[in-house]
Amino acid sequence: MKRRRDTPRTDEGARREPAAEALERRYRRLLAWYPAAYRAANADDMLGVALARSAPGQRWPEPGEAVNLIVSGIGERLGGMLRRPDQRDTAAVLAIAGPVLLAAAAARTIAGPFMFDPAMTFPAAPGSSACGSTNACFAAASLKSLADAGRHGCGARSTRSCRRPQSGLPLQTAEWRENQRPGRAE
Amino acid sequence: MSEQPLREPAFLVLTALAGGPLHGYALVEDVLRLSDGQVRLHTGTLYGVLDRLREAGLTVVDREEIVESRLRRYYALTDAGIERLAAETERMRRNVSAAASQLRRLRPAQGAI
Repeated sequence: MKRRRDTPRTDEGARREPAAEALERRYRRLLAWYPAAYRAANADDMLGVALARSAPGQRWPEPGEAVNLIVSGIGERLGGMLRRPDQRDTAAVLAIAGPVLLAAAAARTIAGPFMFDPAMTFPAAPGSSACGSTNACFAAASLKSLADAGRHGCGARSTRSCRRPQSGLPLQTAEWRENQRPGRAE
Repeated sequence: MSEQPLREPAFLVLTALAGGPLHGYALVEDVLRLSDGQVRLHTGTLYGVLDRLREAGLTVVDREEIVESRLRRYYALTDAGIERLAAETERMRRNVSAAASQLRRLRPAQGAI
């Protein structure tokens, strides 16, 4: 399991880590969803609130609180981009395309082996004679690329291809699954 | 922002601050108490609300303290915040009495709410 470079530790060390420290480290990782400037101004204060909300001995952020921090952090990033005219278009595209891509990936996961093959459904690639009009062609190509994104994204049949993105944003799902496994004492 | 009705978390945060400056977690607890245990603000929601209220000039940072080597920020109502809370309370009072009188007409046997 990958750790952020500021807290190098083995799994052995992680188990002996005091609950308060483990919880604080995990909340700090969740706060990484916020833009750096926002974090610099508010992270300490927010961390104090998040920790005060938690129960004594708690090692993991409660799921609702974690989701709320991720969603709020992304919102703050998008909001920051919307306030900057040069990034407004990117923010708008992300705001619309992001959820669609996530939904495509989720659909692929749920449908699993029963999912249609986009290559069969949309044989008409751009430039092929089957495209009736430019618009239809574009729509077909878009749908195909979305379906492909779903197919090759996280949740594809082969879990080997499901890697955590190497960006600055932490995805806790793997850790989470580990935590939710029955029989694991925390 | 001034024309739109305040949403519940923002209204409850202003209500809590009407009792005096509070830091983040005290706000969460006060909102929980004021809402009869109904609203326990998540951290992300609370800071989103605080940012918007501050941008609208309804709250300010009152002071900062270091408690257990961690920054603790206290928030306070501005005069505009007090006015806004009063206006919002009046608006809600009108809505509540309108709803109550409609309900009395609907089922007079059960009396007033």
